[in-house]
Amino acid sequence: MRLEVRGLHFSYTPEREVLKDISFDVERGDIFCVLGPNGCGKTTLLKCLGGILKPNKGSILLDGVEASTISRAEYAKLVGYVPQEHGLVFPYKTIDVVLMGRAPHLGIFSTPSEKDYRIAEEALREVGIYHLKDRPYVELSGGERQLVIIARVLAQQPEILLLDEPTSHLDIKNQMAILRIVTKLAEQGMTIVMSTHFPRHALLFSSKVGIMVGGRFIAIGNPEEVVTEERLKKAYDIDIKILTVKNPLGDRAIKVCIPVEALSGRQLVGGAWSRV
Amino acid sequence: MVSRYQVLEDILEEVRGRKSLVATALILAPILSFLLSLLVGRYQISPQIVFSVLISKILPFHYDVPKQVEIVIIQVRLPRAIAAALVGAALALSGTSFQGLFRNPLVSSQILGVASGAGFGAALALLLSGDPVIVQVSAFGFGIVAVAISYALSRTYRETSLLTLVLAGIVVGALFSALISLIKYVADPYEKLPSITFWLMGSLSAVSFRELTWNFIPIVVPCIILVLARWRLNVLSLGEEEAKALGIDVERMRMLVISCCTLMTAAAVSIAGMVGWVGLVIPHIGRMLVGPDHKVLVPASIAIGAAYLLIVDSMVRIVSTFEMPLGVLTAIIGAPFFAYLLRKRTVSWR
Repeated sequence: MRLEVRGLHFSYTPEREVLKDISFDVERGDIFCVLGPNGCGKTTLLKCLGGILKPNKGSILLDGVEASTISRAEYAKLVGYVPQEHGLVFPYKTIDVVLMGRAPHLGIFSTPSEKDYRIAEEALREVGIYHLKDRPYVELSGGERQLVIIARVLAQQPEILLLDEPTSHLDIKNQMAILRIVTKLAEQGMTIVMSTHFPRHALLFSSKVGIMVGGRFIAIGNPEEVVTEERLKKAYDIDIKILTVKNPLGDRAIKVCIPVEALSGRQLVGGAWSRV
Repeated sequence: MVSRYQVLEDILEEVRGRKSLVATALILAPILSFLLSLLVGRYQISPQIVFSVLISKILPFHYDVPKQVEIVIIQVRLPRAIAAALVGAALALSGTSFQGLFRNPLVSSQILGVASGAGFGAALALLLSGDPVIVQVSAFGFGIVAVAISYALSRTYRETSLLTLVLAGIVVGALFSALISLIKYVADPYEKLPSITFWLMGSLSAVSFRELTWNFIPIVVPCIILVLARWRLNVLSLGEEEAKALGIDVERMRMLVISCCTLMTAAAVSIAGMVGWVGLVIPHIGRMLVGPDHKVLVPASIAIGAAYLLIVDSMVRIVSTFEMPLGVLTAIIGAPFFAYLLRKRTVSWR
């Protein structure tokens, strides 16, 4: 499904506009990565796309259909949202958490059927944590929890998937596990929008990148062209070096982004960096 | 100490492992407590007579007992037992629903001020008239008014936030509690004050079929709605944003749950007076037995709540020669149990 955003504006309070004139489009099977510093509006943008926040101006089009004309339940069948943090109070079993992804497909007075259970179990298998099915969600590790939430959104069977920093708080192995799943889903034809703090993820996995600063995109396009040292400096306000590393497993070179401070080997105040 | 908790936890673990056993127990508990509640009372009647009289009312055969005995069974104990079951179920179910809705295991059915409002309504009616019908209607009405005020107070720019709703509920509860004190202060200390105080402590001793027919619908209809919509409580308990992302119209769903709980609790309070702790403790017992999934927890809460109040109301009649106020006994049993739960918090929630 094709996602188009045209002239989106959003503000929590009338004084401060968080999103200013956001426009972009993402094709079916694309991974659109949103980069930008903390507080630039990435989460707000995803919440607007997920139908959680109502934009003040502008339009969101799903295959050309205006989002505001679609009912909430119908919308949730098309667009899945993985929030950055999820606070569960009650110790639901993992399978019960995943089953909740079936909510948009169920009427107000129905409970999940055998079929819904099968879909939920299939989603758990797809992200590789079927063995955690009966464990309480709250007892799982951060990486496992993230996988559970991704399984939940798969049980939702959307066509557009929004992920808000899906790899933050995760170790490298789990980061890769999540990105592997996201890539697979894109290959299966899902449209993906995800925010991230890691420019290297954008360079490695995305088909399109947008750099967001102060509520607007300063550049959108091909990762190779968009992610430059100048733009990263503008976004994060520190000097960043993009290095090209020869890929030992193939001929395509990989780009990595490293803060210049780390490269210079200078001892920072407080000892955050030490000479390598 | 630790080892004793461990033993209890092992037992619970064992019980949880046997789903059919728990299910059977949950079905039998309210039925057995209901029968028990028909048997006890200061007027001694043998179980054989009690059941014979009851059966003779349903099946077409004649059973000869003194008129007095029949009145005690049919006019006094039967409505009282039905009332205890309804009130217990209503308070427990609204407690469970509110804990899910507010995502907080420490809230109870009274969080939005319904009980204080109903208490004020009853106290006011007792002060001004004393007619039991007016007392009931006034209690029911003010219970709903209190929640309506809480809800209106919490309306903000875009939508109702749960935190402001809880705060508004606390404010409204405090206001009505102060008004209750004011009424007690001005009430005639020999005639009016004792009846107000006694009403506020909660009792089922004066229940008749008339009160039940009045309150049957505001308890049973919301109860059916919540049972049908119970799985949605799981999704609501994820919090506003996630529930929205899963396609739930959060605002409308909240309104539905709050309306149902308010009707049930207001009706329950107008029958039984202030019966505390049921709506707080029963959901926790339910979670210990069947887990947090509302699909199972909601019916379990209804069964446990009904059984609990039937048993406590039977105890009220047994433990002493005078009738102990119901609300006092539910608190005497409920408070220490809740303290225990707080120590063992991992049992029921994170």
